[in-house]
Order: sequence, then C-alpha cells, then structure tokens
Amino acid sequence: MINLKDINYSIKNKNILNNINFNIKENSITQIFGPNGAGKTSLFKIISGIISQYSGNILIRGNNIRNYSIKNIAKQITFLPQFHYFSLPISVKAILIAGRYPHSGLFQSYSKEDKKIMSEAVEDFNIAELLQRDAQTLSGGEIKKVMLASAFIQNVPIILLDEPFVSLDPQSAIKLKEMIVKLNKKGKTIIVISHRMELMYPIATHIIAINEGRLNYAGIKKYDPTLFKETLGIGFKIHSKNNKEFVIIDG
Amino acid sequence: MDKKKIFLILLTILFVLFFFLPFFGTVKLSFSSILNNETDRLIFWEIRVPRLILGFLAGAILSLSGLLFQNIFKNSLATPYTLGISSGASAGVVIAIKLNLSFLFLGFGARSLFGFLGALLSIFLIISIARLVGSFSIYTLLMSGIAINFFFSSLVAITLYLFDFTQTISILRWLLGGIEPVRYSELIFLSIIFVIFVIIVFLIKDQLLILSIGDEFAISKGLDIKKFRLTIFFIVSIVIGILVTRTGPIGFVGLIVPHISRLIFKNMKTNIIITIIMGGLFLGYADFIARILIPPVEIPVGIITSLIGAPFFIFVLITSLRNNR
Repeated sequence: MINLKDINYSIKNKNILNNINFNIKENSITQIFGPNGAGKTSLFKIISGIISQYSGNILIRGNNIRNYSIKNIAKQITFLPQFHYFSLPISVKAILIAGRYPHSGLFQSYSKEDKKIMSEAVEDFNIAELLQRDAQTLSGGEIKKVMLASAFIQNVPIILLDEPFVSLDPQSAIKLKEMIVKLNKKGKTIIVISHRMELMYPIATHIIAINEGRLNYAGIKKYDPTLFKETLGIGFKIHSKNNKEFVIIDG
Repeated sequence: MDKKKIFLILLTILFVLFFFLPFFGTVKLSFSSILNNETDRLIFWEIRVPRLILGFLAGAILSLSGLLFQNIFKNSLATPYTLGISSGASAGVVIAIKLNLSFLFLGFGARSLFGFLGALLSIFLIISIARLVGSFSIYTLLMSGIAINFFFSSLVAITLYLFDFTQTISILRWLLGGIEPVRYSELIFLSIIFVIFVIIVFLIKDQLLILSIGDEFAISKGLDIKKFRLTIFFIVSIVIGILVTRTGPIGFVGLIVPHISRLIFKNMKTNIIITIIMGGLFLGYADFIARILIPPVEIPVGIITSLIGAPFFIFVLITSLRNNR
C-alpha cells in the first residue's frame, strides 16, 4: 500500500535518514521502534507531506505523493504528532471538527454528516466533558486524546501515530491499544512509533527497526532478540499464555 | 456571560455611538438645531456622521485584519501594525502624494495602489527574513517588524522634508492616524471593500481556524498553508493599503479587539462577528474621545489608540512570554 524508495533526508548537512526502503502492507499494524534521534518522526513527517525536501519517492497505492495535493494526501493519511502546543485559545470542538476538513469542498463548511462522525468519536474516546473546554487548559493526556480523536474523525485509510501512548494513563493506554485493533479490523492500515513493547508488540503484524537514520529491519514481525538488542540496547522476552503474547523487558 | 447578553450590551453601545455622540463636540448640537440651523445641519450630516461611519468601518477592518494575522502567526502580538505593514503602506501613500500621482487602476486610486504596494513590500520583507531564519517565531516576526517600521518611517521622514510646510502639517496629522471627515462617495467605496472583505473572511473561516491550531496540524488536515498564508497576505495588503490612504496608520486596534474577543469566544464565526462590531465601536468611541479631549483641537485618533494600545501590547507580551517559559 505504501512503498518507500531510496528515501534520503538531511538537515544542515546532517543526515537524518539514509537510503530508507520499505513497504507497508494494506491492513497491517506496523510498529516502528528505535532510539531517540533515529529519524522516526522525520519519516512520519515525510510520509504525511509535512516535510517535502527529501530525495527518493513515496508511493501510495502506486501513486507518487509528490503528485498529490496536500488535501489529497490528507484524504489518505492522518498523522498524530508526538506533542502539541496551543499558542492561541481554541475550543476542543473546533479541533475535532477540523478532522473533517479534507473531506469538505472549497468554501463549504462542515455538514450534518461531519458533525455526526464527530459525535461518534467523542463517545468512542469518552471526551464529551472536554468538548467546550479551551484546549490551552487541557492536560498532556487530554490533549493526546483530543488529537487522537481528531485524527480518527479524519477517517482515512492510513493512520500514523507518533508515540501515542506517551502521557496517557494506563487505562487510556489499554483503551487506545484496543482502538487500534478495532480500527485495523475495519480495514485501516496503522503505523505506530512506540517503545511500549508490552502494548504494541503483541498487536503488531509488522515491525520496523531504525537506528541513526538507517533501517535495521522492516518486515513481518519476528522475534529476534539480537535485532532488539542492536537497535534499542535492551532485550525482551515473550511469554505466551492463552494464545496471547506478553512482553517482559529484559534490561 | 452568555452570548445573548454580550450582543445586547454591544448593540446598546452601538446605539449610543450612532444616535447620541454625533451631537456632542466643540459645537453642541441638538435634534431641533440640526433641523432648523443650516450650519448645525452641515456639521451633523457632512462632518460628524461621515466621520463616525469612517471610524466604525476603519475599526472593523483593522480588527478583522488583526484577527487574520493573529491566527496565521498564532500570536496576538502579530498584527499588520506591529509587523510594519501599516508603515509600509503609509510610505507608499506618502510617496504617491509627493509624486503627485493621480491615476486610476482597476478603480483604485494611485494612493491606494501605492499603499497596497508598500504593504506588500513589507510583508515580503517579513517573509524573507523569517525564511532566512527558518522560523515564523514571534521573536523573528516582531524584530523584523521593528526594523521594517524604522526603515519605512525614515523613508516617510525623508519624503516629508521635500514637501512645503502646510502640506507637511496635514500629512503629519494623517500619519498620526487621523479620521477626517470624508465624502459619502468615499464611504460607499470603503463600505463595498469592507463587505467584500467580511465575505472572504467568512468563506475561509475553517481554514483560518485550522491554521491557528498549528502548522503541522493544518498540513495533516489537508491545508496548503503556504498558499493560504500568501492569499491572506495579499488580501490584507489590499485592504490596509486602501484604508491607510484614508485614515493613516492607526495602531493597536487590530491587536486589542481580536485578542479580547478570542478570550471570550472560542467559536470562529462568533469571534469574527464580535471582532467586527467591537472593532467598529472601539475606534468610534476612541475618535469621539479624540474629538472632545482638548477642545477645540481635534487630535488624531491614532494617538488615543496608541495610548491605550502600547500598555496593552506590553501586557500581552508579558503573559505570552510567561506562558512560553
């Protein structure tokens, strides 16, 4: 579904990404991991059209995204950034409905259908009490939930989540994990940058290991202790019980 | 406070502005005197009322331009005035006056056109500096704004020395931001510009809101932020160019009004409407104060707005710096 071909990206002569090649299969859940500064977020920004000064090509269903308008990329892909800071006061409702923007026509405001999709997500994410709040007064975890909801409201086939579990409480984190599985069952292709092996590894179908801008591995999930040790500097063990995988971090 | 109450209060203030204030001033007028006395009638209909309408329109346009800039740059301190756009426009107008240009281009006068070009030039400078720095941070913007202000002010000053004395005085008054009596034909022209401007702002309100959430957020929701920003710059340059020709650069209205409106209303549509009404009221009342403060002298309203605006600017600066820490 997504093919990355020879992606190179550098800022001020510093190489951020070196010759990245991989394919993402339709309807897969891919976990991307690697140490801080490995280039994971840059990779997401390139795929979602935020960064355009890279070399190489990205194809979505065979079409080069350089030929897509920004609006058309947003009909295919949504990107949840790791952090968000609000400089101006803004209502949570406005952030949520913005998820419908790629589907609206020129000079055409949001429809009843858009508002219906929004209220469904509000229920799914259990954020009804935040709706009238000013986003500047939200906590880190609340911001995360609102931004996630806005990304899901966008209702696109490809979802990129950058460290979605950070600043979520344990219950919300598990709910998010279930949400990812649910969306995947509905046919979404989901790529998640996360170090939370215990949450992500069991549900991932594919993994991508990246270190210092280079690809260590990209493909079907396989348990390879040396790969994890090489990429992250730590290992982990997997314990199966009742057809479920449990991850034990092994420092 | 709920929306309806605020609307009601604003409407009352609006009523007072239009139906009571024109009677007050150096010459006191009454309802019967403007019907029976020819001089009073002229003062009322040919001076005070058009001036009031001009003040209201100017305030609304400045506030709406301020709202656009604040949303694009995601900071209340970034307005056409503080970034030096108004001073670029003024330099353009002064040069057009000096060159004694009087032609029409697509229905716009030479002064408006030069005002527009001056505004566009200062925006171009700001963007270029921000691109070189690699960020549209508020520090870069305000610093560039200060430099651009200095530059165009000296350009204006040099040009002023080339005028004769009486002309210089009238241009100086205009430069301080004065709302002078205008012909009704001018008011109709400005009203048309105002209405078109408001319609455009309503058409792009969703985009405006998305961009105010964040650049990356806006791109991931499908907004071409570069194109959108350029469109706004172009529109604001035209509007400011035309307005500055009539009123001179009037500062801080575009900062104070949308900032306060945004603190109260989070909904974009309400925000736009309130900004228009409050902007018109603010400048209408400020001009009334300018008319009656030191009778019989009428001081330019720009002095009043800066007197209120500069402390307000510092207040917003302090709060925004504190929040960023």
